[in-house]
Amino acid sequence: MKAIEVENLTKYYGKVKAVDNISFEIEKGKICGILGPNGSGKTTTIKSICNLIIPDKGNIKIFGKDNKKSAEHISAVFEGTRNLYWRLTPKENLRYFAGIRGLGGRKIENNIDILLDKFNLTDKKDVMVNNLSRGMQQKVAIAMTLICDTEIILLDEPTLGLDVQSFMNIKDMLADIASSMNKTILLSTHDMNLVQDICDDVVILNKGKVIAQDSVEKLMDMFESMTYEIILAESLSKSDKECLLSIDYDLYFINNKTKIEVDIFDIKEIYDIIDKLKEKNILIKEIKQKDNNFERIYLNITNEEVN
Amino acid sequence: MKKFYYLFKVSVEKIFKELKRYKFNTISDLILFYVLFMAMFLGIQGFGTSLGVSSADMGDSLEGFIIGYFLWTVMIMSFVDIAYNVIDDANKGTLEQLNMSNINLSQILVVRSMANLLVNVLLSIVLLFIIMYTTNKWIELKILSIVIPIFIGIFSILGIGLICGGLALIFKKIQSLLNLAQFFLIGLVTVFPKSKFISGLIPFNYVAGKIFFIVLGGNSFVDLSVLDYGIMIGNSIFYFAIGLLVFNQCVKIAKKKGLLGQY
Repeated sequence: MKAIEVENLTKYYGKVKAVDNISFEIEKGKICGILGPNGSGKTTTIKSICNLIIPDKGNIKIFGKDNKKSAEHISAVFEGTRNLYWRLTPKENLRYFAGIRGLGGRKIENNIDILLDKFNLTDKKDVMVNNLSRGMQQKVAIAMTLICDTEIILLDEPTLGLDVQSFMNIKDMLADIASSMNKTILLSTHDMNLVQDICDDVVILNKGKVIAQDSVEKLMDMFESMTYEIILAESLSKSDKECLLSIDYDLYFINNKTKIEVDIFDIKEIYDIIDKLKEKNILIKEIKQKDNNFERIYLNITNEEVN
Repeated sequence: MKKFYYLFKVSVEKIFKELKRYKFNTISDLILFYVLFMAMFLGIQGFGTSLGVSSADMGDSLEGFIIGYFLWTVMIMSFVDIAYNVIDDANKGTLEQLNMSNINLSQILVVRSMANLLVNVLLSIVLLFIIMYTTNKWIELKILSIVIPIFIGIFSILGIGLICGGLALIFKKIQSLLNLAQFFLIGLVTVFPKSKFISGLIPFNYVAGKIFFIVLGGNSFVDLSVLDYGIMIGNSIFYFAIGLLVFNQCVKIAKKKGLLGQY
């Protein structure tokens, strides 16, 4: 069953086209990552799904119904805003946002206690939110989406600015929410580890257009055999590097230019690079096929270079 | 109806919690309200005495002044509350959350304003008693007789508040307009046209006149005629409907321009 259907979504801000005729679908119970560089249209897409932005063209359906009539199915946490009242405690915030949606009573009070316990916030339940760490504030914001009991949760940059421990907590929490509570999650992020670890599907945007859309697994498979790591005996000189760059491959120079990573489409192409290194008398210590990661795939897709 | 009850309940709770947690601001507000009133009260009394106004006439003026000031603050609380709530929530980053509720944003703001009004009227009544004690000028307060017309009439002020709230969504900075409107509101509770028709066209004006009639004339809400209630209800419905219409239109414009929450 499709939880979210976006069809031909287009949005202009003045003369700037923020989102250009994009379409994608998300199945119920899946976690979908929406990726793209800054200004690619991620937040506009998420806010359009939440009906906080009215698109110029296109339709958005939530469980087959127009999104303007589907507020009861969607909750969201946005990046760059607090989402919560800082002078209220986590418990008071959860009670307030449930009340804003017309929910209350003993059942909600019980659910608040369950959620605070689940997110290890019970001992902080009476501390004002402005006195909590960034990670805990983010946990409260996500708990706030759950107390609203919506089937779909939209998260804009949920791990931005978090330390490693908080990142791990939020990541595990999201995976648990999707699997144990059968929620559909759409999250925008720049964090490829998060996408690789918890997302089922991914939509990649660039300049307001969808440039790739598939399951994370399929995208990983597609690029699996293509990244090789060549470890050199010594670091490359500037001229050697320029010479290597003249051949038509995606090369990434790492570790002070003692390591080259290359993406190739045919195994035989590795000889072109080896020949070039040989020609320049550059000694090779080791060549190995690299376990691919989503960051590389993303960079390949968006045609960005990292040196 | 149950959902509005929960919304009202959490709104009242939040107001009390924030009054307690922003206690410096709360105490400052109460002191300011008291000092401002006392300054005006003593000023009027001194002015009356210097002009040789009899104490009986002065008594009527002072009672009128107390009621006028009370009504003015109640109006300001209701009117400013909606617009400031929009600005405040946008600044706090919670406006998007309110917008995503299955309850319409205008309804949320109105219910929150009613909750705010309830808390503020309670605080105002307590302050009014302190003021009456300090000035030794006691007015017979028939709470129910005042509250019923206020409740009927306040929707016209909420309508104007919704218009300002809608403008705040689009134009962001409307403090100058709000400040100006506060002084315009003084006119609504101090100037009463002789014609019922004209008074009935001005928001809250007819209601304010009837509250003066109740308090200063020693009357009760049952002394008001059916026509009086008709004018008060009609005036409230008219301005509230316009307010809702303008606000919802402003929300639509803000959503089209992507302005919601972007402060």
